Amino acid sequence: MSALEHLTLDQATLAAARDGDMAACEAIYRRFEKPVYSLAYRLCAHREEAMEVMQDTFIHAFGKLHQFRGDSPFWPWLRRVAVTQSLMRLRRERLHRFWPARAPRPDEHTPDRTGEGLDLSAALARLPRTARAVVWLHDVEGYTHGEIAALMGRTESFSKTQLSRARARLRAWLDPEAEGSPCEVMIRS
Amino acid sequence: MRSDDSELTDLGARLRELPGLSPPRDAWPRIQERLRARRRAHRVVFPGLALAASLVLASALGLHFGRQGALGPANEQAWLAQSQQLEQRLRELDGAGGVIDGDQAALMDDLEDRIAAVDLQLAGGASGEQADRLLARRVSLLSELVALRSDYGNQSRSVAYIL
Repeated sequence: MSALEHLTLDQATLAAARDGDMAACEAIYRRFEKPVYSLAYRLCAHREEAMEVMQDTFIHAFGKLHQFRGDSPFWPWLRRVAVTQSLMRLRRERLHRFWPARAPRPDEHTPDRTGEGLDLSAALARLPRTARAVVWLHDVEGYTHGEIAALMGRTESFSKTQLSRARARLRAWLDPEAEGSPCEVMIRS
Repeated sequence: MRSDDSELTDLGARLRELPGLSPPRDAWPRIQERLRARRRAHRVVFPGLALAASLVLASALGLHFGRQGALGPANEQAWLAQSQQLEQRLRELDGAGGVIDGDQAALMDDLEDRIAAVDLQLAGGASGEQADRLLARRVSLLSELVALRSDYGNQSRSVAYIL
């Protein structure tokens, strides 16, 4: 992901996309579809929902391209949009709380195929949505507790608590014999 | 006990090593369609009279609810009750089915995004007048969403309006 962090868009593509050129938009989409979808999937743990978040992210980003300064890497800006869209969807669950179909359960089978990846991916998907978002944003995307708190409209201590509990649960699920039951882990942490 | 820093670092490293995922192949065509729909939606299209009337009503409701304390609920509980009624109406409309074209879907997405943005601000600990103003805004947006969803079953032309 490090190469992505520093990837800048050429000015011609950016200018064309700002003007609504669909080929330029597609070129940007092709370059970033995988990281955006991956991020959305890790936060949502649901393929269809991740697909919706990805769509919303690109729609929103293309509509706001004029706000992006072309002299900086594009991914941090786009990632911010993707994270915001994902978290807004989390919030939207409250709006749709009477519609069970709009709050899907995490996928039971993740697309990963490698041995350890499957276990970790499945464990991540089992976390509650907020805890999953906190652990992913902090441990993978490098957000600080302050940034997470601001994004979620919560306190830093809330973010820290969520992270601590999420890590404890993950460790317990990944290595139950070493960790004891999740409840014991929660008490210890 | 495996809760030391190295263990946490290891967990973070393992999470970062999870493989990237590819979206479905039909993702771009769907985005492209929504982009085109959104562009159409930003051009003013004159809808049928019935629809125009309902949108005027929605707009009036928005102004009405936007004027804090003018005629609407005067406290948080009343706004919340109003929100719940509108959400219930949305649920009923959602269950009624129907076909939504791209333009309408884009507008509904936009409204839902705005509602979610208001919810984010409310979750941020807004209180007093600010909370009241946000709740009024939420009711206004919900009203517009209800009006839009109410229309799509009856109309035969694509429609757009600018908020």
